[in-house]
Amino acid sequence: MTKKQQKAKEQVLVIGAGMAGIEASLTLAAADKKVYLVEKEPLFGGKVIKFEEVFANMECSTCMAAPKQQEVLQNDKIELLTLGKVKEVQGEAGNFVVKIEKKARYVSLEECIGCNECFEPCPVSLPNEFEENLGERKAIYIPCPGALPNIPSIDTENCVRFTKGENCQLCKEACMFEAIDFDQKDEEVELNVGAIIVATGFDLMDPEQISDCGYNGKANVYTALEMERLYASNGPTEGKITLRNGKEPTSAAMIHCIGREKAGYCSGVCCMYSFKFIHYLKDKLPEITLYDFYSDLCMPGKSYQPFYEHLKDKTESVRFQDLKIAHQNGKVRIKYKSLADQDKTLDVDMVILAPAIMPAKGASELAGVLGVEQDENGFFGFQSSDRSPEESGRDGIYLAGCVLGPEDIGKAIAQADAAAGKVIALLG
Amino acid sequence: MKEGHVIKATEGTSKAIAGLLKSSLEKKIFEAVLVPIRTNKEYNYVLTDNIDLLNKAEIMPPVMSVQGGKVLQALTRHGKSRKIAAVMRMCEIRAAIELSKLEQTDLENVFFISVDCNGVTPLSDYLEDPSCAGKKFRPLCEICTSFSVVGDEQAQDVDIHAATMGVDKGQMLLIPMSTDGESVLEKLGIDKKQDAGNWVKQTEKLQKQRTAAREKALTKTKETIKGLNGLVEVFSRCIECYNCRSVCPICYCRLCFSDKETFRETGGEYLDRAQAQGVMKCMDEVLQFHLGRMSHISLSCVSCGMCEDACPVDIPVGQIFSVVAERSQAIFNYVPGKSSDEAQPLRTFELDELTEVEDK
Amino acid sequence: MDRKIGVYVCECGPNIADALDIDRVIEAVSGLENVAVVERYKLLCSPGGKKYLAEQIKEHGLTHLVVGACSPKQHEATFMGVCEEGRMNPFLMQMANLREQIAWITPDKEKATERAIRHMKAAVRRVRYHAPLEQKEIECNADVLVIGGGIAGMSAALLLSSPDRKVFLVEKNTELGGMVSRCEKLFPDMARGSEITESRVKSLKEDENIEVLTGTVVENVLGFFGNFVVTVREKESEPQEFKVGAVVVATGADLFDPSALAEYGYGKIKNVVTAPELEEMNLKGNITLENGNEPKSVGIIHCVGRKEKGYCSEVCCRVGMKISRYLKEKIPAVSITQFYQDLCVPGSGAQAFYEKTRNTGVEFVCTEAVKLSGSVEKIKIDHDGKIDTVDMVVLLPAIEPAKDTSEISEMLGVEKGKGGFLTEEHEKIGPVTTTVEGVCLAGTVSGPKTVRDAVSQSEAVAGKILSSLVPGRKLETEARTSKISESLCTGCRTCLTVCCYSAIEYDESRGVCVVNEVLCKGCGNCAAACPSGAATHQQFTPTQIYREVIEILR
Repeated sequence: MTKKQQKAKEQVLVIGAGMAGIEASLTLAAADKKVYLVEKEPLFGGKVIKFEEVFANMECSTCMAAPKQQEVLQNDKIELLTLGKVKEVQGEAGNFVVKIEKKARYVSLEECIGCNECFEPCPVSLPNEFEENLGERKAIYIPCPGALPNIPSIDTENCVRFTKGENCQLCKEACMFEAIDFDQKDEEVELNVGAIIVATGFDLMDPEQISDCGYNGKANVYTALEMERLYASNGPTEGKITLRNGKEPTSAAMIHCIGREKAGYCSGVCCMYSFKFIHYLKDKLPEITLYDFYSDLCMPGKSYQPFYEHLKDKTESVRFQDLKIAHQNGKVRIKYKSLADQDKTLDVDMVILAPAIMPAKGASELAGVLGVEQDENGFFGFQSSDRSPEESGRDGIYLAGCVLGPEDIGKAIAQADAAAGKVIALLG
Repeated sequence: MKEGHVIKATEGTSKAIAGLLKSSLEKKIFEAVLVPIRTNKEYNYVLTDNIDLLNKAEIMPPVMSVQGGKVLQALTRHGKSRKIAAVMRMCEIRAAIELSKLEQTDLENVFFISVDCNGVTPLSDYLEDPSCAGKKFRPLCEICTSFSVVGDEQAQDVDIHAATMGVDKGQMLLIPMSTDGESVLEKLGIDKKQDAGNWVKQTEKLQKQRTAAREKALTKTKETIKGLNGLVEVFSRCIECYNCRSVCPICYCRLCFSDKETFRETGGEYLDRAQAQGVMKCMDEVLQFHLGRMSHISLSCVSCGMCEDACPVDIPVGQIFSVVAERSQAIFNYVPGKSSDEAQPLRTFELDELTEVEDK
Repeated sequence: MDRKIGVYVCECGPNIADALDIDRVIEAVSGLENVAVVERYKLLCSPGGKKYLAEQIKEHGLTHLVVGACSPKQHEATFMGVCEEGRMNPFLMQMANLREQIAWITPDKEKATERAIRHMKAAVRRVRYHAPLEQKEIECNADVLVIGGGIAGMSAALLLSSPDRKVFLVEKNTELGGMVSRCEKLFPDMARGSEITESRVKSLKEDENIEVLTGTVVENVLGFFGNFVVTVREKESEPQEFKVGAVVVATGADLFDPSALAEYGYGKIKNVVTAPELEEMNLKGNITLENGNEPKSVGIIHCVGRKEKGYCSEVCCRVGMKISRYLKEKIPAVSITQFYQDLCVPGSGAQAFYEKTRNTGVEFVCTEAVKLSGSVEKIKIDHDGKIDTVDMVVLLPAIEPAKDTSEISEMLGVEKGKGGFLTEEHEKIGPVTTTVEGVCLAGTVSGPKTVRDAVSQSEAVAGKILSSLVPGRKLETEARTSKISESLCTGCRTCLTVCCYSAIEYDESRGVCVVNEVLCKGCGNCAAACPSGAATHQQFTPTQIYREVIEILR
């Protein structure tokens, strides 16, 4: 074995720094592996840091994730590469050569102390994707309060220096630590690793692609992630639940199974988070009338049904077939067929959709780069009971989290540790 | 408890119970008994199997020179005793039960005989004038509601209760309170039963009176300790002799927090404090001691009044502690010493507890 | 002791420097006892700042360090590292949070300065009472005990096995394989079931690093992480003892007994069987009624015992569909109806499995309640008032904790939690570990789950053990643990009742409680609960806290 090959066996690449990627990295680092944790966003933590609380213990989500994130940041063996995308993978188990395209942040990680002074002077404002477009950000920005690393990045698709070639220096002038550096360049980083763990997570199905779900980004129909940001204490409304016109809703309906027919599978966690929303809404608006529209209640496991039992008195549960959502006089109109085949209508102030969970954007491209299998729904790996869920079809590459199918956090963490276990057993 | 087993008590309660204990020793029902004995002018607990010595026994002595709970702690802490019978007042039994929850007493082989209690005379009064025995009582005794086996504080671990109130003169009713109690009476051949209705009536009547009196008295006491100034005032003559702590059955710590280095500052630190305040009383730890002790023992306080009895400067410390104890025990609906099965609130976790302080 | 406390206030750029008057803070702290030097610095966490601090420690011969800066969450580890650089014990350092707790929330500069003075004085007073704690290293045994030879146990053992680590796999039955070995096929791809376990059994037997002990029970597990002593016994033989570093509990679960519920007539009505009974028939080759004939119509009832147990067992819906596939394979003309309350088909392949099953002609009926009654050779299924008549009924019972769960719980110190199953450390971020370090759970022992998830968990357990118990590597223990003073302990054992890490033991001979420093995580529960003040947390002693609080409140 060459020295290079020997070195490769000590190093692992983890793609995606959400909860699964973080867990896999920490377990690998504990086993003395050097971990390159690549994340395409400027911050890490995945979807979980968008939630205020998690079911079923209703624990504060960021309180749960933050200590793990801190451990990653303070661990010498883990190198977090944000704004990075995997472009090429060559080689084989034990010796992969990976090319990563790392976009420039234009802010120095060593000098910046996260004081946020550079945002105010920036002349460009645009909707903030992290806030599900419910809030705004500047072209130089940190996606949300508490984001880690607590260092802004410059969005080259909106900063006038890059889009218009203007010599705007307003952020640099506001910085007292000389941390902003327009001369930074995108890099190509080449890594030599013995194994790869893919933990790229999920995205929600775009509701605008789903017919009759009433979503247009303007009416009072929200997706689950938009609801999470509305309720979040570090969100665009600091936790206040209001309609688009600023008024408080007097009634709201949770609609499960949005896009389920189109996707062809059940996403497993939406029933549970819809119940969580019942808890959220009743917490902020005790007088609100709630409806919960579902086709089957999916609450597997020892703790999920008790959670539902605890909350079901706070809502009217409605079992439906064929549901359509439209708008009528400022209200949201739900037309549905009951199980007894009766046509019914209900008007509410606000609707929260539970859209299908899909593989994250860019998943197919990544599958091609990695040379791994995708199932009929685009998720990586195999659905067979004959294989571990972490198997990708290519030796040395393992999967964890929603990249392999819709999972709850507990399952994703177990998969992350399992993938790490397989890597450690492989590399020795 | 509508009926009890009758025994003769023509020579008084003490002789009657002593006679009972003698028989039980003769019949080897117990290996020894724990009773107060009179020696000269003093009353001391002795552990004995000497039947003759029991002639000097003084059950329910007029003064309480040591709390029975403390005695049982010394006797059983380092391992069970062999089968013994202990005759004590209800507050002493309750203290012993409370201590068992903290592994400081082991009551498995202790057979409890309780007696209707009229109260105890304060030690200082008794020493000054022995004739006030049975006439003058501890302030807490005057408002005591656990003088018999009636009411919420009834100690459920009592085996036999000797009923004297409302019972015909020259007689005593022995009420078995457990299967052990029943079996002992059977072995002693005490099987003549009699209606206890009068005793029940009498004790319930007294219970009502005492409950009202207790509420009145403790409300009055509460007024005196309102606010920091009230507390400072009431404890102003405390000389930090720690008598109250020494005699308290619940205070069993090897090193009290108030004696620890934690609160001992360096000379430099004291001077800094004095400079910041302008003046500093030396040494100013009185309230810290009492409030600290209150927070430590109030859930277990059985209101026996030993502390007040022992205080050389007549601070009504027992009444003050009882005020706080009652309130803190009420938060958890906890009655100290009632049953060894009832765990102490701060040692156990209940999911649905103190919901009033929860975020809804 | 000649203490020399170095006090440094970080400006944190404008964050702290603009929000309060640092010079006044420096002045206020300078005169305090034992303070040798007080300085301010632009940015202490920068490479320059860290170098400066380390040099200061050496230059002034500092014995203690106080840093007024940001949150300890952010940089406590950084400054502890600086202490080590300066060859000072890192536990003799205290941070005062001047940024998040003062500068960022106190708009009035005067007030902020006053608060900062209090906090800095408090940190200085406190740090004098810090003890130079040491992280210890202990030898550990990297071998592993796996209890349970089902799919989870076997998968864990296979992934753990390596030449420098022995695995003991103990199974109480004479055969390995567990529940999966009794299934011909598994959902959703109807792949081999019993063959999967057979191939694992073969791999196990061929693996030199794994010792398989069947017909054997674990009698006792003593010790702690890295140093367990296990006693096992094979039937009537002498007990065997061996040492391991970690224990994997993969003892599986049991099924709810439907005879407890009158509405299903189990044990009373003919031809009402449970899913495992049908699996058995299927494995043997024919599915028949009691009279030997093939059933022409079958009803499959989901959610048996769901209400009583209060949870959904996740797999039964799909097991029901699998059973209908068996039936259709063996008896193509059979008519099948499945009666369910909620269809549980989460995940990428499950709904397709359901739809495919439906396309084979299986009917699915949603119903709240089902009542069975026998009528000659037929069974009447009353569902919400409608009646279906069938030859045979298959019940899908809930998954419940195995009968010996209490014994295992007590033996290992792992608590029982929701549903009566052994409880994992954390529902979300600790699904396979427990509060007893070194004891992990895999498979249905911690709750109902699919074979896929059980395998995932067993490999996760292997991952945890492979990374924390490395042959040849010593275990580092937490330095900031609790301690119990032998002379002050009265043996009341209150600390035992509040310790969730099984880190405290009662020593009968001395009548006192003792903390196991390897298991202690420094949570402080015992110190808070101890009525006698015998238990203290070494980095949060009453003296330290008292000094800190007194200065803040002055």
